Amino acid sequence: MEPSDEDLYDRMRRGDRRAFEQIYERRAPGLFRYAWHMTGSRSLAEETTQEAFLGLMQPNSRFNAERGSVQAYLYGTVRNLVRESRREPHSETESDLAVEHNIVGRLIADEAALALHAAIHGLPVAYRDAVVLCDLEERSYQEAAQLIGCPMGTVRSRLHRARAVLASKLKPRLAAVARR
Amino acid sequence: MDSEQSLAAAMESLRAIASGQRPPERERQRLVAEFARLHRRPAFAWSGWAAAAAIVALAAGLALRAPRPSAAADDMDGFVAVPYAAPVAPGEFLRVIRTELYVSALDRMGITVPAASTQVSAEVVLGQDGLPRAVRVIEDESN
Repeated sequence: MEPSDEDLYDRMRRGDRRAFEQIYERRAPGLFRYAWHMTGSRSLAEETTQEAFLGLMQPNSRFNAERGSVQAYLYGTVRNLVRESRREPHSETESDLAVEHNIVGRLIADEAALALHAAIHGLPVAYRDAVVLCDLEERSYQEAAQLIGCPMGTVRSRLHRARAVLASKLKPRLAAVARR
Repeated sequence: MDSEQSLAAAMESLRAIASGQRPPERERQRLVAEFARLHRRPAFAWSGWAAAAAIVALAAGLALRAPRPSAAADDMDGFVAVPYAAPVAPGEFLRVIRTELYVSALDRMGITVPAASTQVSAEVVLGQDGLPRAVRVIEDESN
C-alpha cells in the first residue's frame, strides 16, 4: 500500500530524502498546473510551486496534520502567494510580458483555449480556484472544498458564477471560433 | 454550438494542453539540494562526543527547570538557555547551528553578552520546532 502524504511528511521531517522526493513526484505536477492556471505565468508557477515545497521542508514549517492535509497546505501556500503577487506592484516589464505571452502562445496553439487561459486569469481568486480545481483539474466538489477550505456548497456556487462570467467574457471569441 | 458547449470544448483543449505541464527538472534538483542542506549534520570545531554530551546536559538542564528570566545563572558549557523558551521534551531532537547574530537580537531574546561589535558568532541550539533553546557566543579567535 502506498504511504500517505502525511506518513511521507513524518519520514521527511526525520531527514528521509526519498520521502521528500516521493511527495514531490506525487504532488508537484498537479500543483504546478494549478499554479500555472492561477498565475497565468509559467515562471510564476515555477516560483510558487518551489516556495510551497520549500515551506513544507523547513524545520519550522507551518504545516500541521491536525489542521489539514499536506495537499491542502501546498495548494493553500500557492493560493496565498498568488494573492500576494496581485497586491504587489507588478515587477514584470512589457518585454517580459511579451516573452511570457509568446511562450504561452506557442504552448497554447488553440485560440479558444488561449482566450480561456487569459480569461481565467482575470477572474477573482475565489472563482478562479473553483474553475481550476473542478473544471481543469477535474477534482470533485468535495476534494476542491478540502483544498480551498470552504463548504462544498460554496465551491458549487462559485463554480456556477465563474462559468457564467467566463461564458459571457468569451462569447464573441468562442462564437467566432465556432463559425470557422 | 451554444456558449456553454463552446466553453466546455475550450476547457477540454486547455486541460489537454496543461496535462503535459510539469515543473522543470532543475526545480526538483534545487529542492532536493536544499533538503539535503537542511538535514546536513552540523560541523563542529569540537569532537562529536563532546557535542553530544553538551547537548544531553543542556537538554536535561532545560527539561528539569521551570522557565525563568535569569539567563546568566543557566550557563552550561558556555551555552546560555533562552529565557522563557519551551522546555525540551524527553527524546526531542535538537540541532546546533553556527551563525552570526546581532547583539541587539540576543538582547531581545533576554541574553546579554559583553560584545564590542554589533554582531557576534554564536552556536544556537534549536528545538524540533525550529525555535532557539540556548545560545553560546563564540569568542573572536583573532583576539
